[in-house]
Amino acid sequence: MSIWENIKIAVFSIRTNAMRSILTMLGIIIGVASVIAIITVGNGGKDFVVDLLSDMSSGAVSIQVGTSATAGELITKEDIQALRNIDTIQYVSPMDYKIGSAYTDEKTAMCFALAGNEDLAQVMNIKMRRGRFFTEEENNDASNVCVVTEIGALVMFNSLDCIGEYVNFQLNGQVVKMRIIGVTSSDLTASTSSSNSTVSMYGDMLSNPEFQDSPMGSGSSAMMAIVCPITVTDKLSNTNGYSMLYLTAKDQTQAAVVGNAAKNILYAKHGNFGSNIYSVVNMESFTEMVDKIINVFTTFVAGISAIALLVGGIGVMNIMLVSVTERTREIGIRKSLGAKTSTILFQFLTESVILCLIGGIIGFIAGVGMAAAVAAYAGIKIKIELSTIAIAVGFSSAVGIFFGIYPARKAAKMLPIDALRRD
Amino acid sequence: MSLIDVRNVYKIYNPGENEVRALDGISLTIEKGEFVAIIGQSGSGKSTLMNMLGLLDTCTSGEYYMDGIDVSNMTDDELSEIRNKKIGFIFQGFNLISSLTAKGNVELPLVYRGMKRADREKLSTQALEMVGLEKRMNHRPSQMSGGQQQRVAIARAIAAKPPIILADEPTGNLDSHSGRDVMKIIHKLHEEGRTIILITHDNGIAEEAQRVVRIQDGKIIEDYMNKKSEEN
Repeated sequence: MSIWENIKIAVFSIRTNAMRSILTMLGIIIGVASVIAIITVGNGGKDFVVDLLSDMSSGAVSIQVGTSATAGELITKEDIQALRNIDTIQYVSPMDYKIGSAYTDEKTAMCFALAGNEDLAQVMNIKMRRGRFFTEEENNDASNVCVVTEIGALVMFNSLDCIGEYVNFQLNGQVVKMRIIGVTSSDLTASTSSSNSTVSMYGDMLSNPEFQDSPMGSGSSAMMAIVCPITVTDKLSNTNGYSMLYLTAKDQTQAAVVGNAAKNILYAKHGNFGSNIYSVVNMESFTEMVDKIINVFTTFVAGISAIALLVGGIGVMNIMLVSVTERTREIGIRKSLGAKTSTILFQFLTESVILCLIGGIIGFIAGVGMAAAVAAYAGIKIKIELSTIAIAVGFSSAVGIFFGIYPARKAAKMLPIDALRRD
Repeated sequence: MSLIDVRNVYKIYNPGENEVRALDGISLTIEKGEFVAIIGQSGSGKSTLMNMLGLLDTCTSGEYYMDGIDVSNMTDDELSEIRNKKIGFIFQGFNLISSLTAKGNVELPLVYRGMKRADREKLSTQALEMVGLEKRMNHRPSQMSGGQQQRVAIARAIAAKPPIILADEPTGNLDSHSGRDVMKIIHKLHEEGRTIILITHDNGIAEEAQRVVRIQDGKIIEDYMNKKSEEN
């Protein structure tokens, strides 16, 4: 007896008891739908978070100086130069930021100024929309140039065509007039959120007394951000060094190792081994960690919803047992006509697998629908992987086989005479 | 070599004090082409004998040879195969599968034999023509009268062309007119050379067979050739 014949018999039997079949399938549908919805939303969420994180840095490692550091322990220009000389490091830049105000003849806004050397564009993945980033010479000469964000350009000039314009940055009563040389599409405030959360940065900005005293402090919520050479911000305050640096490794896969090596060089240069004053924040490992957390969480919740699948499976088993009992006579007839044990076994197994597969397919569609609704609400994109489809089909067939085998065996083992005698 | 050779067969239920000997030492041979009626009252053991002959049930002790092959110690699956190839059943209660059409029912033994669709179609159509139901091929049992259903069952029994037809009270559930039709077909099958074993409690029907085997309390009490058939 061919598989095709079995499938035909199974489909017929499912259709004959349509209502009962649908109710039985419901358990499988709910089980598969919830598992699929959770996996799909989980994958979408993971991609969203991972994309966000990898957008922030191109595999950069940051080294931060603890808040208890003494002036002598801060990162100096000499440290940066020493790190530059290491073969395995590709780019390295100190990082500093100032929060002050920016003004032109027409406008004022609060301003976040991110500062570093010419490598900052690489280590912080700052993408240029127009113009260029500042050069090594400009940094060395402390040239008063800056790159503004798109939003900054729009806030101050109502246009992205602002290269060559000047903007004044004011901090602690000092003013630097900077020439704009480029516009970046990156959101600079988010770039530093690996070390300082964006929220706290804006918090800094709002609680800055300078800013509150400034004419646009009250009533104006205009904000902008610029990137400038660190030598420029140095002019605004007396600095002994920097509390943060970013670096990238030549071999991206070795980022963590290179980060640790750089940290040890800092200890060596400052003679403060064992003080734990420097710490390495590796975005890659952070991304991996987030990835792992979401995976564990998704698996956990999917596991819980798999209980629904189990309950659905028990429902299938129950209905198959009823079906076997109801069709005892049919089994007897089939056996008397020459059906073998295996034929009857496969007939009933096919029926339970098809029942579960239909449920699995409907459940998959429902699950993806649910996931799409949740994703639309949460503003993430869902991703349907082939493995998700495989899970839906695999799980539901497995449930069909697992819970169908007992009723099917019960049917197959019946003696024809016992089966025929029953009414 | 006899087609059916049963030697000293016992079927004992509840062995021990309250044992019931449904078959109590039965020996019987049936030759190819015979038309045998097994007659007995209810509880006589005739149905047990029929189930045993049809390999639907196994005996407690004794030997059973079919075409010289010992079938008394075969496995369930081996028996299924022999039933499929050698025996066509006609039951009192028709035993059609209600979800299948007449044609679907007739094709079942052919399906289990592993026959291709085209061959199945040919044989099932032939069988349904033989019982005069070629126009009802696609009807389901519930859409047919009892007589028609029994004719479908006969078509199913003969479709695979088995040498033995085993009929258990084939007219028991039918009105006399339909019963006559069914008996006519059975006679025709016999004339075509098939071996017919017919179980009945009705002396009138038993008279139509060539040979009558009378069962009582699990034993054969009479085994004779009908005068009418001897005259033929």
